[in-house]
Amino acid sequence: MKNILTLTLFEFKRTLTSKMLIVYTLIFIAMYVLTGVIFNIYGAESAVITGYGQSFSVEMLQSSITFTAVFIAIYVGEVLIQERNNGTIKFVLLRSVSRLQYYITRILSIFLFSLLLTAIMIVIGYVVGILFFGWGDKFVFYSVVTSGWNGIGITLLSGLAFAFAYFIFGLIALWLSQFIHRISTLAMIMGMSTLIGQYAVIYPQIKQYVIFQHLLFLHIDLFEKPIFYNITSFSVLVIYLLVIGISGYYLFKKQDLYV
Amino acid sequence: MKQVNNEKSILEIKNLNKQIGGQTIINNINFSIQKGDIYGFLGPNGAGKTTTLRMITRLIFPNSGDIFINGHSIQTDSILALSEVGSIIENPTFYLHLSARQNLILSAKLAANKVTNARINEVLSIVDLKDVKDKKVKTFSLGMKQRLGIANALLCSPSLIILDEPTNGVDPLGLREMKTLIKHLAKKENITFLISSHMLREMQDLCDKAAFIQDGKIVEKGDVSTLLETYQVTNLEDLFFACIKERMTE
Repeated sequence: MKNILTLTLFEFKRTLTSKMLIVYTLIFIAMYVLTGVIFNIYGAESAVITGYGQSFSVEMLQSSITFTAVFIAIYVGEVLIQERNNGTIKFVLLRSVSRLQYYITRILSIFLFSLLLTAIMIVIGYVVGILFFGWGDKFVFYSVVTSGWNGIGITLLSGLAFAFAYFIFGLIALWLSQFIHRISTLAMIMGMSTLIGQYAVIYPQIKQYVIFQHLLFLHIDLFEKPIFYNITSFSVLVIYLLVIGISGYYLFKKQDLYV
Repeated sequence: MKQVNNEKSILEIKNLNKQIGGQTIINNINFSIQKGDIYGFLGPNGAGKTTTLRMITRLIFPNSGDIFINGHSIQTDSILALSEVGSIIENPTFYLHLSARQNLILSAKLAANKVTNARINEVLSIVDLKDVKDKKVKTFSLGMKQRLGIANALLCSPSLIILDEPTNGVDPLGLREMKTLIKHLAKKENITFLISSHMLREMQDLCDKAAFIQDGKIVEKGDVSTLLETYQVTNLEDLFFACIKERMTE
């Protein structure tokens, strides 16, 4: 447990102080500002938002699917592929750290990074939203119309669902990264998968079982679909977590590390 | 070949085999190292030295055979077996954005035994890096990284230290210092060393025992002075070629 805590905190601290995080933040700021500008010039029909500062943050989550997917994939590359390429994985494994402990820390790091990225997007959303539209008198998110703390609560809950879906996506990237030697290749595969995967959601019979559906809609479905539907969605993601997490560990456990 | 007393073995390798992509890289290797030895694991590049050391440290897995460290099987009890091992495999790796001291602090936190700040300072002093302990590792030369690697290996007061090609990138002065350091540690701290190298002449005045490996097979092993006498040669390089020649004529 001590090793897991030490390594997870080390990774999180490294992430917080990385240039990578600054770049991601700047990209999100640019994207959010651009959306605000387009809304102001061309009106609501040209943008994906309704023009209320208090709901801008949650509305913008969906629009960042490809960026966020690529950022998660790059992060996964940093915590496994780069560790392998730089040889720092052996710095850790040659101490009293088991492969199970090491793999758990990768999973926890991806979870924390998903939360961190979502938190950054929400904060930027509030700041840019208020700057462009003011706080506004209501919070509008699909069929949900409310205001004040209720809107903030919905944004946070939606953000948690969004982060959870991307965490599972990150686990898929972690699984794949065991066969890939370049971060750029992994990022390209995962980014492309979101572009192609978005079309999988046109098949109603399978869409609830496809990760891309949840990347796009889990945080919306939470407030739009019946409870049974959402329980099924979360169950699907938990099964993803267990199957990909456990099979990924067994692959890692048996993998020869030529570092 | 020289017979070893397995009762005192700190490291024992039994019938070790490794195939990669259908090719046999390590072919039924057996050898033991006793406490206090400075044991050379010698052979040309590509002979299988690093592959063997990677198997000892569980970075890669053998197809068959077993490795015992202080009696603990690496297959079934790897954490306990490796808890008394310090190692540098292929090259020392560190988090470059951290200082030497920060790397050792992280390493200490991940160790099975408690490592004090005093011990961190002590190992930095031993390898003569105390003055640059707060400098980032990315500013270090290869020789300094090697020394930091030794400091890291020493951190948990191990009974066995494994060094893979420790002379790589080290200048003649650094090499002399490293040999002196290894001899000092073996004598004063009673640490056993397993050192791989393809630089046979450089290992001559360092190793008291050695195993020679060629194409994944041990061609000879034993006490260095006895082997030199047996083969009637004066240095390890000639000894290696004499062993190869004898093996070819068998």
